[in-house]
Amino acid sequence: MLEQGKISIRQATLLMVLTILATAILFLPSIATVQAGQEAWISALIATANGIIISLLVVTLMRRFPEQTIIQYSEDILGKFLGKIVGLGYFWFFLHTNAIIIREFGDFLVAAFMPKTPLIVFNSMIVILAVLAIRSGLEPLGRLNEWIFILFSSILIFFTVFLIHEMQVENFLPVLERGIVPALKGAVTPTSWFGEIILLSMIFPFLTQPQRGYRVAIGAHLIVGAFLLIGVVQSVSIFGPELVSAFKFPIIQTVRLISLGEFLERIEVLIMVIWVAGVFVKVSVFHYATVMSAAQLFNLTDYRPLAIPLGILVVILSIHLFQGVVDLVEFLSVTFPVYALSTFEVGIPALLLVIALIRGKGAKNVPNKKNN
Amino acid sequence: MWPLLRKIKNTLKLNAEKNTGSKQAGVKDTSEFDELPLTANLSERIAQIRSVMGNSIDLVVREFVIGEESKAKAAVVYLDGLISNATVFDNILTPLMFEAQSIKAGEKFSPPKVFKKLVESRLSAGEIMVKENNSELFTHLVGGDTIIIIDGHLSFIVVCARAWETRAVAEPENESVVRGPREGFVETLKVNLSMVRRRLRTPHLKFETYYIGNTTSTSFVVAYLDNIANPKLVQEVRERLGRIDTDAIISTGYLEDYIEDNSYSPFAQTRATERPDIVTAELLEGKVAIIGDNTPFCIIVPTTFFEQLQGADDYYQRPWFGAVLVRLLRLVAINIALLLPSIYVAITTYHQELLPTSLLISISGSREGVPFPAVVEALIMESTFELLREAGLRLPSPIGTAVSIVGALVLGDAAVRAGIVSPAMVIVVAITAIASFSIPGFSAALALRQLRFPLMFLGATLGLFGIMFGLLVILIHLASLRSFGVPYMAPLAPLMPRDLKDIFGRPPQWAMGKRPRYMRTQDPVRQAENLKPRPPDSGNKKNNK
Repeated sequence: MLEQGKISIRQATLLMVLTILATAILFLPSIATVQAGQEAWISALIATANGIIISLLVVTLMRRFPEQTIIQYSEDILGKFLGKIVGLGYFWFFLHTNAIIIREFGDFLVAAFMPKTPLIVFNSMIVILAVLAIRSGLEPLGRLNEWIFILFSSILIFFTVFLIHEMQVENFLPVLERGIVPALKGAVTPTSWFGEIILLSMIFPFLTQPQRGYRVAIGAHLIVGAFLLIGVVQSVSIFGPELVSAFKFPIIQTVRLISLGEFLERIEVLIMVIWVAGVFVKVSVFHYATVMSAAQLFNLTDYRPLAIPLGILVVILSIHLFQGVVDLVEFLSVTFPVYALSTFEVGIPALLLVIALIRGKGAKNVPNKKNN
Repeated sequence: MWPLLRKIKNTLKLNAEKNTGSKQAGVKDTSEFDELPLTANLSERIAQIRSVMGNSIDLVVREFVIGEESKAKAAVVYLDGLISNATVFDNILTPLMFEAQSIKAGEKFSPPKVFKKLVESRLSAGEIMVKENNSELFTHLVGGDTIIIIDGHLSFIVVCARAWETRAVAEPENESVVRGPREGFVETLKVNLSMVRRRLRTPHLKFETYYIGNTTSTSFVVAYLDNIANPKLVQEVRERLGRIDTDAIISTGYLEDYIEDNSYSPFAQTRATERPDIVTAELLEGKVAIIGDNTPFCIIVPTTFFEQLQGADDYYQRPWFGAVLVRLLRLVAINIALLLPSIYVAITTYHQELLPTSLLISISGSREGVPFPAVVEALIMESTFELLREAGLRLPSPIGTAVSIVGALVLGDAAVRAGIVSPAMVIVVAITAIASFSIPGFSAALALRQLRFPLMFLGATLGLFGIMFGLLVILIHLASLRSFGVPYMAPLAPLMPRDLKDIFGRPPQWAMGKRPRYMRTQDPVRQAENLKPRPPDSGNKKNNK
């Protein structure tokens, strides 16, 4: 098998949490509020529910093929030719999405902290980290991620605790004044973020206990949902829906308000610091999926040599995909959800599952592996 | 293509053979002497020994006759300085020359009988072996054993009467404790083994001997508890030691390079210690200790990053205020030692808004007139400090103090007055130095010292983002590093919540009921449960129920 390491259920869960949460916590509060206004928190809940439905779907598919990744079993299900096309599609999806994430990352750092530094510096540095991580395998990434998750989540909670006195519940009123529709609309983009759980299909064969796959996906979505809810509630209750939808990164704006005894002030740069760690995990997981899918698509015996060339490719792609920040945000909030949800995140897995059921491919029950 | 493959195969085979050879604890590669013609004639044999040893001045050959009437010629051969004169005189020469008179009485002289009799009832030394081939003769001779050769017999007697000048057992200077045993290892293997054995009075404590180094033939002892240590780990240690095929292993420091997973890592994957109590505690956690001859430093494998932050003192002091606070302080110290100069550079260069206003004003005031950017200033001061430290280390201690005076007065005070560096920078460097001194593991402190410099560059070029980048590179490396199969960052990554209590604090002894999980020991339970002391009343009530 290509990958030698194994990761535990907890490691996989936390890996998926940071993969989704790292960018979601910065971008989604604003994007959801644009559509849903003060009901953005309902959007977050709906998106979490959607995410759980998606994870039920994709994990059911994965559990039928516990030894294979989506690249491999799409060939089993659809036959060699169509399967390769689907595999190629997933390879492109991982590569493209990774380029988008890296661009988000670079744009955020340039816009918020270092306006004079060229984009390529940040983009290439985060990819260098991802390449380093991937070359040492999945296992170290899983281990490191546990640590980064603790750092990431505890700092987010720390910020929230120190902002409690700024929050005003009145900002949520009136509830559901315009009906449920705006909240549903606001949930679309977050759902596409939750749909990134499809990445689990690339690490599913390397779980120590694949029979507990549902736990990984649903657990990850519940944790992400909780943090997203906190993020939305924090920003909307402090600034009100109008301001939040105008901000690009509302969480950063809220952190600016923290002031502890006139000593700990203006600490929003700390958000950047932990965010770098979070995005590192996200980019690494996506890059791992890209490299792994390429290796499996072409039946290679090792995926590591691909890490650097594909890394260079993704950096170039990340710079030339978009003209500027406006272009990026437009793509993220309008095009990406429809594109990702209809095809790679839900559409194709659903199709594969139906065909697998009809053609009777795959195992019905996951064999219990010995835990060791 | 094929010849190359065959060659590789052959070398592999050769290595495998060598491995099995050295695993039989004992002789290694002295077989060249086996080609010497075997002879039972005493004078020829002595001539042989003399020619092989090449008139070395420390070779002593004492020829004599066993008893007065038997006329059995014999010789005692040893290397001067490696034997105990008292043992050789009292337990070998005296019995053979005077008390062996009775051998003649009632028995016809024949060399084998003399031989048997001598071994059975005459030689009163403790450890005696009868050997035959020449290679063993030289191995034992250079190892410090005394050899008795009897005319007319191929076999010879080896008497272990080793004794040489050793340093007295003293407190290890690098690992001193406030409360706890004060003895440390010395350069003699047997003394060191006795110190470990005294602390672990169980037959489960196993000492396996290896002779490593084709020329030095240094003895190393692999110590482990066979009812606790994971057999796979012990086997791995054996294999790695057996693989070594080199000229010389002078100290355990040489050995580390051969057995570590990643020699290029700045982090040491073995733990070196001079303290027998640390070795005992580590053996009880299921680790393997490699104790070498001629060095007081014993190495313990596997080790983790956090174990290098634990001092022996932690377990001898009171748990809460003695150890927990100290451990938390050390965690702060490693962060300071690694990051403080680079964070200072990053903040003063890029993120001034992070500082409270009044502090910002005083720092920028002190930096006024300093001609260098913060990073150059930091590099100058840090390298000066490292220079001072090296200089102080090499010089004898009376001059060493002079160096520190020069450092403090000239470089600290005068540089600030001359306006070359800012006082704030001096403070930062001083705190960093103190923090790096407070880390118990010397090799861990060394790793942090090395990594401080690249981090300063990153902080100067990309601010906090650069530092985070550098930290992540270090963390990726640490997360993928293993020491004999144990993840280096265990129990933090992979997360093992049960073992964390011994890292962020030091629970009372009764609360540490299990050995660390990452060691995968055979017997994970250390002690009975419910050992928490209770006042007599509540204890009775519970018993009555």
